Amino acid sequence: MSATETAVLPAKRRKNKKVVALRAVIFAVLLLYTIFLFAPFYVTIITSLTSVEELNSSVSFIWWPKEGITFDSYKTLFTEDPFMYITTIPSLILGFINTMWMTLLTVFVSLFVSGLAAYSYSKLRFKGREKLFMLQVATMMIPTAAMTMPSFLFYDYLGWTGTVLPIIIPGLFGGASTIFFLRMYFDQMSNDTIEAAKLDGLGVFSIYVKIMIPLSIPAFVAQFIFSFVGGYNNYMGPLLYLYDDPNMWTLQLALSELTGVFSSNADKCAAAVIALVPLLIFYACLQKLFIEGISVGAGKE
Amino acid sequence: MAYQEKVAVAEAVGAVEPAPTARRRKKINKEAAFGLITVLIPLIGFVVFSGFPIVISFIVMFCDMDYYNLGSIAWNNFATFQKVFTDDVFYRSLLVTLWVASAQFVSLAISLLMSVLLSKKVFGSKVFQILFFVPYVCSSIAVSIMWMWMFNDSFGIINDLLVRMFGEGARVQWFNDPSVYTWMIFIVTVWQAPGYGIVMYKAALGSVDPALYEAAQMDGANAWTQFYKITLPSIAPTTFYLLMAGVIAGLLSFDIPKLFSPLDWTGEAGPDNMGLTTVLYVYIRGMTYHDMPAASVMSWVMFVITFIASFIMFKMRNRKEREA
Repeated sequence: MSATETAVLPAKRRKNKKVVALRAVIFAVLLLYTIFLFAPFYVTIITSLTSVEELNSSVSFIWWPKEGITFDSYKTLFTEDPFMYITTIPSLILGFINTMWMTLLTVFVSLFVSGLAAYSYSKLRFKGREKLFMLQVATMMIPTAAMTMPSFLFYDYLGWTGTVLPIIIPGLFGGASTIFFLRMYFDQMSNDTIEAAKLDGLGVFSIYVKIMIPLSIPAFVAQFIFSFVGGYNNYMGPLLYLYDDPNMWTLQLALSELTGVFSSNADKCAAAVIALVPLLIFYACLQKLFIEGISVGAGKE
Repeated sequence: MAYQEKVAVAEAVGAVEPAPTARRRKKINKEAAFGLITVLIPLIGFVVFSGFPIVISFIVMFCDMDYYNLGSIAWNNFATFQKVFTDDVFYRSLLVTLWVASAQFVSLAISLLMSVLLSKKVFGSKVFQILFFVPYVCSSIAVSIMWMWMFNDSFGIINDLLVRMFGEGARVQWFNDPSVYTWMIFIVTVWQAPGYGIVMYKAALGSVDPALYEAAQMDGANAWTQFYKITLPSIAPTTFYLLMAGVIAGLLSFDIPKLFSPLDWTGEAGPDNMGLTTVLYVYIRGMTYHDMPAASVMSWVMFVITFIASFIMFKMRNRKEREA
């Protein structure tokens, strides 16, 4: 009895050692990958805090500014922005405001409209329901993104170029993938609450607003997050339609134009940091919802 | 109990649908109308804002036109097609596009590797997962600015490290050497793209039935066999989804090349146009040269390529599912 125990123990210990070593290797790989991912942030932040003079007089990369850190580049962006001549407030701030209202308006309406369609597909009975749903899903197979540039002709014909309409209006009609996702979610909900509400005399629209939306907040939040990030970072749309008027520039457009104006990399890096910070704060606050939002999608897929 | 009473009771407890009275039928009609209208809104939006532009660009391919004036279109006997398909720059842009899009395969491999490592629940794996998603949230514009500075020929951190490690000879002329130029866009894409895949894969790995692994262990399968025979097939739907979304995004890559490769004084985007993806070329033809017919032809080429790519992956996925 004791002989077998002593024989087992070293083998177990050896196995434990192996597991510990494996875990250490995994940890090291994850750490190295983190360094690879965050090195650009370090470089950008450090450079944005280096004075333009030190940067200009240096012959190689500056790992840490010898003259100490300075916020001059940030000041420059808010005081010497040449577009202020037209926009009166710094173009990065105006760009942020423009981005926020354009994105939030589109995302909220789009979510509401998509949810409404998903609710009808899931809970209402009407002729051709499943056929229309197949059609809606089939639109996802069409790579409309390839047609972004030729769409310019269409909006130019409507007289919408140079206005925010091409950025906002198409989004107000809802999106196929959101409808698909929300329908899956609604399908899993039991109909009891809806039947009870019907008995209370609630109409179909009231049921959507008062029952479906409150009961599906997680699904809406997941969709909101990704639509919002997509809208916030959208570049090609504003570039095509809003380029001519700095007063309508979005944050990304202002950022790309400013980097063409400021020649110092300290200023460029500062501009990038300013543009990144709002969304990074948003992510830091809601990171759990981001991860859950994608995970729900993975489960459905 | 009389039949009618039974029905009344059943109706009251919600066991059967009530017989359609006139009022009830009217209500159903109203409901049907409401349903039809709400599901038609997105479809109408698609027809108007995606369908019309597609049709217009299709017509424009076969026509000459002044500036952006649709009233001036005139049949040109396939002249635009001849021009585009004999344009060396267009073929160069296709090469660059495929090169950049291939970064999505590397990105997928990294996603899988990192998600498998994360699922081993080592110290700090929750924090790692949160950090790994950060690049995905960042705008491509800011990311391009950051990396352009990193790749800077004279003062960038990458050349600084290369010179420190391997001497002055190791310095790479990232922005002037056509043979390395496209690798910059490739690397930036690989840096930014995996975050989404890591989270997706992590969730998919978590939903694999543990009983499968237990059974495999009883059969004496080693870790590699388990991964190959159980994990990979179980997460195949996620792989196809990620591959499809990634390849489409890669083929239509615009933001990063646009920032990296503004047109220089010779009219090239990067040395020898090595930063010119097709969508960027479409933008340049359409916006800088007001050449919408050529832009339409090239957009249609990308439209067809992305459609075929996603269609093939869709078919592959269906076949896999039938096998399973």
